[in-house]
Amino acid sequence: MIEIKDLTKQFRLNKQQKKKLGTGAGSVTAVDHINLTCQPGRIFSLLGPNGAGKTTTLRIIATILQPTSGTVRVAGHDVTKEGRAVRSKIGFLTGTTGLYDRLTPDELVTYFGKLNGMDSTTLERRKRDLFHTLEIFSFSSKRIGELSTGMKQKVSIARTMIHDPEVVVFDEPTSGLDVITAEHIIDLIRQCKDDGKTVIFSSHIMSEVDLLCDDLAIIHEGRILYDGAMDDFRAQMVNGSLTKEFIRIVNNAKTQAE
Amino acid sequence: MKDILNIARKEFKDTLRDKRTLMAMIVVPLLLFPVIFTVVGNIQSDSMEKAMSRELKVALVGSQVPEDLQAHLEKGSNLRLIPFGQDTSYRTYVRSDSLDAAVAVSEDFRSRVNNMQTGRITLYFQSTEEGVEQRLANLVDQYRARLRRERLAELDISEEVIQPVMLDMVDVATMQEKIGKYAGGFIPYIFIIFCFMGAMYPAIDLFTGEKERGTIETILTSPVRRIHILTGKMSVVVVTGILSALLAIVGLFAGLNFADTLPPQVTEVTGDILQPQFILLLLTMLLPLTIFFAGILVPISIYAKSFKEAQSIITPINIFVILPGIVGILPGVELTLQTALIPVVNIALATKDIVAGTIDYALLTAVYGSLILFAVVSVAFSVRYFGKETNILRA
Repeated sequence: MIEIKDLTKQFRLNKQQKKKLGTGAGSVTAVDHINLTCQPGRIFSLLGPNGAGKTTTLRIIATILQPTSGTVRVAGHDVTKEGRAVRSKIGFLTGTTGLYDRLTPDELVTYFGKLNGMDSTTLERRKRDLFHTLEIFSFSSKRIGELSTGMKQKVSIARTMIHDPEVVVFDEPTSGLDVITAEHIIDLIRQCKDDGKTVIFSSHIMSEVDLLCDDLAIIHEGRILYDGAMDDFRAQMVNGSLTKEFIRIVNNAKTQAE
Repeated sequence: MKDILNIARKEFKDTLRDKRTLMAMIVVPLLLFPVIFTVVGNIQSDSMEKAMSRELKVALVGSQVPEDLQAHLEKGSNLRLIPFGQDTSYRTYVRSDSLDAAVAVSEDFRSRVNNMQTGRITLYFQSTEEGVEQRLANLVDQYRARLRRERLAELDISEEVIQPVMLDMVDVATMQEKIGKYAGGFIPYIFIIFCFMGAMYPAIDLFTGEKERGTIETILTSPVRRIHILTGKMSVVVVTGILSALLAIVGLFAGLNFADTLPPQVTEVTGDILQPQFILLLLTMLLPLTIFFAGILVPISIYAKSFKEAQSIITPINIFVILPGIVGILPGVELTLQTALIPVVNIALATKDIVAGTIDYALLTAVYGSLILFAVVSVAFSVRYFGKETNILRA
């Protein structure tokens, strides 16, 4: 379960950034008073164009960033006050997540298992299961730097899931991946749902959202434009296609702002 | 503590598998001294030997060359004399290297010498050609000494008459003191540089590298405190710095023992300086210094977006490590309360005094105090810096 209440995140700007953005303001608001709830056993999708605030929101959930105001609770723990407890409950994966090239998949997954405080028996069993499901065994003692993108992505998945997290956060998990590799991620997201985990993923690819999600939030310039069940969204669409509808909603917001 | 160890162990393994780091941390410090000693020593002794023994082609110029002079020069080792008569082209030949030198005897040489006057011999040579001037001047000197003895005998004058004073020089400083004066400042300086260089690549790799490879988010979302991540990583940076200085010491020992090209006194005295107690004492100073280095390198590596950026910021900082080290070697710069407070300089100066046996313990305490203070402040800064989200995620 993820509960976001009145969350705001502002970034202070330095001189260089002010110049780049052409603004005199001291800070920029990336996330602006948003409220969201993600339920266990359901897939929640955060949809928005680039720079909408998706990554910032997910990073706050993962405790990498601190909220400016508002509260976020993950699996019952507050991200500001109980950061470690939150991190032990989550798995975090992005499409651009790198791995340590000079370690082997086996060493890497063991490392993260230990960092998650797992005892060696549980860790070994869990690792064996994951390596089996993801077919990692054939290359588990090769250096990661020598692996293909697809193999690396499997290792990333094993790394994310080793401690059996209650909540899984995916930040544009398929960006930059080919369809075959992306398919592993899609399978993983479905599997998480079947296992009753809370899943939140961000994307700007409508087809992916359409395929997977149960609940949808559209975010633009840090504000939520739509929040509800995917089925309800489909029912109230003005345009025939999801992509067109998404563009219409974002453009509407832009015109209103002007 | 378990987390810190986990992180340190993994980072150390990772670091030891990085060729770039291995090169800077292990291979270079270990091989530097043996290579310098053997290569430079061999080249130097070889070329010196060659210069002193190779055949010299020497023009003998003038119509009045005395036979005894010619005979004396011919006796000299490996000279080929080429009589030139009145020909004046010898200068060009010397200039163009077809001749090594020319010995020109003035036209009135014989008559002047016979009349108890001074005869003139001119030696043409190129100072860029090693050994030529020395070998020929020696021969002419011997010839002159002989003529002088003959004249004194003829005039019945004792040699002491023309040498009223004889100066004998006796240096009572021990070899240890003489070499210690330079090596005492120089040896720690080498290790200081290796501490910095050995720490540099791991620092960049462990912090900037995480950003560049996109692994920083992964480690930050693990349930480990940030301070533990930082401590684990920083300790690896410090250990590699110290390790590379230690390897340089091992290399220095190996070089001293296996290179036979060094003068035996240098080998002996440097060996005397590098006693286990001295190395231990040096390490106790290098440890806080390397922590201080890590405290500078780490925030830079956290800030930098890429390996390239990190390197371009760190390269100019090298000067702040190298320059104070040189100040420490300069003669006349002593360990005082002021210099004891400046990192790098203080270690070089303190070790100089330790080697010479003249260390002031109050000042040594000040050296340790300053090193520890700098280490603590820089680490505190790193901790604050690593805690700021904008620095870690700067991309």
